[in-house]
Amino acid sequence: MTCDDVRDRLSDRIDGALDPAAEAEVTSHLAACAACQRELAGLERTVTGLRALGDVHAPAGFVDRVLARARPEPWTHRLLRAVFLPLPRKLPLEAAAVVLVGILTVLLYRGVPDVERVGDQFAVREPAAPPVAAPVSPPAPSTPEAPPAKEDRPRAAPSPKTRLAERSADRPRVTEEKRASFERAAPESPPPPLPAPAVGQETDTGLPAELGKQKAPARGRPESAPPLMERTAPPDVLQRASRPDEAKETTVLKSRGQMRAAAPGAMTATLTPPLRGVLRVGDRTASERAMRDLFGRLGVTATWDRPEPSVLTISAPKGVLAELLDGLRELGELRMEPTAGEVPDRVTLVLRLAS
Amino acid sequence: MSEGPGDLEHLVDGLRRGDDAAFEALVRMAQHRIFGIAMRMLGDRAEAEEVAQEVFLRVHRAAREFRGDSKLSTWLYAIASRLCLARLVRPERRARIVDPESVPEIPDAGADPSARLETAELRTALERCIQELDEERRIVVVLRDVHGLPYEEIAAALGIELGTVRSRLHRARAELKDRLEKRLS
Repeated sequence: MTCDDVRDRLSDRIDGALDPAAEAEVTSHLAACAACQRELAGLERTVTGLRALGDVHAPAGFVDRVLARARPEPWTHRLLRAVFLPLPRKLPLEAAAVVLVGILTVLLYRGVPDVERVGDQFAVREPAAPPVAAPVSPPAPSTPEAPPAKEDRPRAAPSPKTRLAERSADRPRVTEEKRASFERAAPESPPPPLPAPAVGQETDTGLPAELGKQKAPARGRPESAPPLMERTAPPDVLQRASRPDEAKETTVLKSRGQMRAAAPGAMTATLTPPLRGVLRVGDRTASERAMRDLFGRLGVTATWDRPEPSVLTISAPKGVLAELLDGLRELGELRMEPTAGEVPDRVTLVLRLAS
Repeated sequence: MSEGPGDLEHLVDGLRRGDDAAFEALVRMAQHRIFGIAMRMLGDRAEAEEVAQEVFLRVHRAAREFRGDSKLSTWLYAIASRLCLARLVRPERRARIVDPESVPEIPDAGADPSARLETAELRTALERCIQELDEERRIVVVLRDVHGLPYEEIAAALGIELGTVRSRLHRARAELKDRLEKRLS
């Protein structure tokens, strides 16, 4: 057995792990080899030192810390940890959730109270409605938003208590009427998106027409004019209004919100993509005058876009569309954009005047 | 600590039942042993405590599934060894020198101050030499020579062959002897 063979077995010899034959050979070699004896002595000293090192004591409180971590955490702590930690990840998510809830709240506020506010207006303003509106406002299903007959209503200003009761009584009826209007107006398929407002046109806030009118009353219309009738009656009723001087005047509305509140037909029209066209005319002033006459004759409603007077929005019944287009062609060169789909009962035509 | 590896085995039934008292007894009995292994493997008290706590928490979580194929002490050593080795191979971890302050006082080396000084010097040198060993050799020599585990239990804890344990132990001791002689010469 060589020195290398013996030294490979010294570790096992220290542990007593050699078999008797190998043990005898190693012992015999060591007796005659001083170098291997020194090697064995160095190893034994090292191993003795290692065995004397002992354990390193765990820090004070180690057991308590382990037991605390092993103990089931109360559900409140787990919930708090799940909600708030880790902060760098959850804080932005929670902030985004708060913003989202805020946006949804605003959207709901702008959408749902619209119906209730309409009911409020009816309840408050009914006593002040003009008497001429009653005979020409039939309670027909075609005018679901028109207020019911008002003759039986008290003329004197109601007390706050009475007004509150009237509001409570009117709200469900108005809501149901409005829902019925939507059901009649809406096609079986989902309605297409609303057309984008023209540049400079007042943004559709979703508020009822009353608020829009309070902000900016219709141009050229006296303050004493019966606003409620105009807002709720369909165009044909407007034509037969008690103001003959204004019967043929095109109704000027300020925003889509007002258009929507004006008549159920108009609301249907706003839900349908409008027809678009360009009318090239020679004499602008004469053409506008002729157009007003044409609109009055056909009983259509037109909105002049005030910031951009060359654009007007026409709302016309389906039955007079062909006659309307023929009349416009007589005034100048009319070019209509191609459209697809069925023509609704009430058509919206966005017309740009060009010279 | 004075308890041998076999002393833990009577706790197995309690641990399987989820008995908190059995778990507390296990932690109290094995805390220094497990912390000592982690301390000598990692060379950092905070890191060693973290690993030692994790060892006991894993035992607590998995005690119900402990089948008893090996001894409870072997299971503890296996978890501790693997956690230490896994932490040592982390790329961000740098080799650290063991803090001599963390090593317990050597048992009375006699009244002779020079003998005591020599023992303390040998002990500090040994701790530093252990830290300089390759991890695979270090865990074997720590389990065998510092904690006195038999070859079979080391092989079971580390999941290696008995012959591998012997050869690694032999090389570790030889390397330690050489390093120690250089330090003390």
